[in-house]
Amino acid sequence: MNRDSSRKEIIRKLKSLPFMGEANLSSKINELLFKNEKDLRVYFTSGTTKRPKAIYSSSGDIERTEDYIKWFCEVEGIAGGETVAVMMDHSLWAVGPLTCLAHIKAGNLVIPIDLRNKNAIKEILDSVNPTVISTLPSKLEEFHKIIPKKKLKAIETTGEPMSQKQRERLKKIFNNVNIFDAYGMTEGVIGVECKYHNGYHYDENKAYLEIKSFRSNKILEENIYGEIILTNLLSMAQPIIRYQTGDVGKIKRERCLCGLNTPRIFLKGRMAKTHYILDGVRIKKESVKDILKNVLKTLPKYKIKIQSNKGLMTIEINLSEISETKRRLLIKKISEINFDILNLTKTGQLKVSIMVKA
Amino acid sequence: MISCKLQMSKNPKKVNHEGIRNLLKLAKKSEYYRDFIFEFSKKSRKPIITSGNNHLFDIKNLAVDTKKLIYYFFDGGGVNYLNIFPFTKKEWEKRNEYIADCYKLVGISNKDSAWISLPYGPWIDGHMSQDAVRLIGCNFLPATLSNNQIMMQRIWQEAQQMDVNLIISSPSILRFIEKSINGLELSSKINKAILSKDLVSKRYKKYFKNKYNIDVFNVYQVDNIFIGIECKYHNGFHYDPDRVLIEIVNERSHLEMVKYGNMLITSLISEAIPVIRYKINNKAKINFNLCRCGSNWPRLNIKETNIDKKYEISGGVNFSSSQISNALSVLKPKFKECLLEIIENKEGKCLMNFYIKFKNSDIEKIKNEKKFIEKIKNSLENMSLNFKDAIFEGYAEIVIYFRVSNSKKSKKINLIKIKDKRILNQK
Repeated sequence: MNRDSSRKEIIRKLKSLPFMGEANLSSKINELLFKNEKDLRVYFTSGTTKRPKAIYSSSGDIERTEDYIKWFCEVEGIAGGETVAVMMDHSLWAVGPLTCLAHIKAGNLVIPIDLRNKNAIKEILDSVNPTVISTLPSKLEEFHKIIPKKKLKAIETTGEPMSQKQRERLKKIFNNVNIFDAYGMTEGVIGVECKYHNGYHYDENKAYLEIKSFRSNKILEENIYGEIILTNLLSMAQPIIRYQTGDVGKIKRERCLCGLNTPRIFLKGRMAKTHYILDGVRIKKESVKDILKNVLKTLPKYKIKIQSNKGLMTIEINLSEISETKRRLLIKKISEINFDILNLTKTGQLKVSIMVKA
Repeated sequence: MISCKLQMSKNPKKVNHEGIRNLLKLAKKSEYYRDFIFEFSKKSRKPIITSGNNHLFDIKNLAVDTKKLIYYFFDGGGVNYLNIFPFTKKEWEKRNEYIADCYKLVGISNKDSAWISLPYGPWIDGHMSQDAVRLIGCNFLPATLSNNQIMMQRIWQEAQQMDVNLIISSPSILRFIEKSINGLELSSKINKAILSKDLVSKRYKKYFKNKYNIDVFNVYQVDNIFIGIECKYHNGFHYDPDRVLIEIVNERSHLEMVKYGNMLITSLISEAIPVIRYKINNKAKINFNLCRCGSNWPRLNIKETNIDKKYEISGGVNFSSSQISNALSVLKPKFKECLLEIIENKEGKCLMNFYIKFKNSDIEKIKNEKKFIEKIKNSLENMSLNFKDAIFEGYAEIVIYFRVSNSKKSKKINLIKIKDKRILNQK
């Protein structure tokens, strides 16, 4: 059997496997795996429940992922000799540590920063003058005034979707520095933009993607939008096979202007209406709706407004009428809607308020 | 020019000559050591101690090209400067191998499952311990502490599911964990704790042993220079003489290693900024007798002294009275005395009451100065990077009280006295 037919056979077998939902990630099987295996570390990913999902990785998984992200640095043209400030969380969540390790592999110097205090961040950034900033779009917006721009060559973003309008605004702020967005999640790293910003290049031998119909389990052809299904080929400790990402996208296989002939994934938001808050933390409209229904017993007319005011994010829900007890209960339930929202509210970065408007 | 000879002839153990030579070669490239000529001679008996360690950890003192660096970490520093800790790949690997060897010395193996609750981000501790346990092959949960109890409880739930039996932390973080979770659960799951950043008292160790049956192993590190670890007999810090060279000195000369004196630390695995004869004010002596644990590494016995005594607040952050004195030296009128009271609430958050005494005649000046309290608060908050972060994250809060110098003394005990360093210097 030659290599091509062997690959086809593997893909055929893969496609016979069932899809994997979010619930599978917190199954008992994973805990058993952890108790019986060695050399594992755990990172968390936000879930729709109060408990975060735990993702286990072995050193081998981490090393393979580092190599893959190193390729991202090459696509971005920043592999070697750069001073990279990685302004992300560096414990609990995988993206910060992985970004650091990959940049080191690519020959760059890394400064991990997870502070929230602007003065402290400024002090560090001023002392090292980074040439690359790796962070989330919301953090770029928040900290743009304190990021030294003199030596800045490129910006890497990930963790949150970035609208074209936001990209233009950020480009203007950062004197037209190239902004490269990467697409991925704790369950698996997927792809990166090249300088033409026309979809995310990805390596099918590292992240195998399929596009599933919204209405059925049918796998769609190239160029048609559907739900992105991820098989992470780098993760062995905790297999992520045909994972339903909840993201909407399409695949294109034609050669890119940059010369790469890898497939590209084009994103078009989330399956469920989702509001992004801060640091990649999101809240599903559906989850808020469920809480409203649950507390108020009926579903009144409501509006969700996310806004930032002097560094404090607020989720404002406008309702026409509500008792004080129920208002308090709603605030409590929404503040605890998932692990990340709870964290943001407890650390004073997010405030939930219920506004009553006649 | 000062000639500086690394003196180790009184160390009866073998000396890593090659390591020293390589380090001295590197040091020549660092601006910090430009004014020193280093010679190595095992016959030399004349000790010359390098002056102070001020601002050694600065980018300008790099001994290697920045292209060779993989990390910049930060720590402490002062009001107007930061300590920067650069690492080359080789140095990072060697350092973490050493830490892994130290962990193995206290019986850590791949059967252990660790929760690393040290700070991450720009601080070295979390990253370094994580790499060390990876080398051993332990399962681990990299989760720094959170400043609210609900989050800590959630992390604890995950730790339990992972069968965590080892906590790698700092003394104040371990106490924070104890307060945030149910102590009984702690007792049923955790049997070992490796604590770094600060020295731990015998009382502290006894408390965790008696109450929770947790064996506390203290790590000795100063200004991010990793020195050694205690074994289960808690009789000094074992260190590898091939990686760390320790000399015991007084103001004028080398002392016999077995007598108490100040330490000069030479890290033979340092590279980006060579650490040579770094003076540490803690009094210590070295014990070369074979330990009951079987390790042939010598032991460093630290004498508890008041020199540069560290005080700690929640969030694993500590400070010395000299740091406060430095921060308060921005004030125009010199203060007579500053008393600091640290009160910890049930949630482990600290209220820091500063009672600053001024001369009667200065009170009017202070009243007239705009935003005087804000200025003091700002200066205190900026005392160091760690402190600034602890205040921002809400682990501690600063309250300032003014007093005239002839006001009655506070009856409260456990107050930390800080003198104006400008007055002390005049004297």
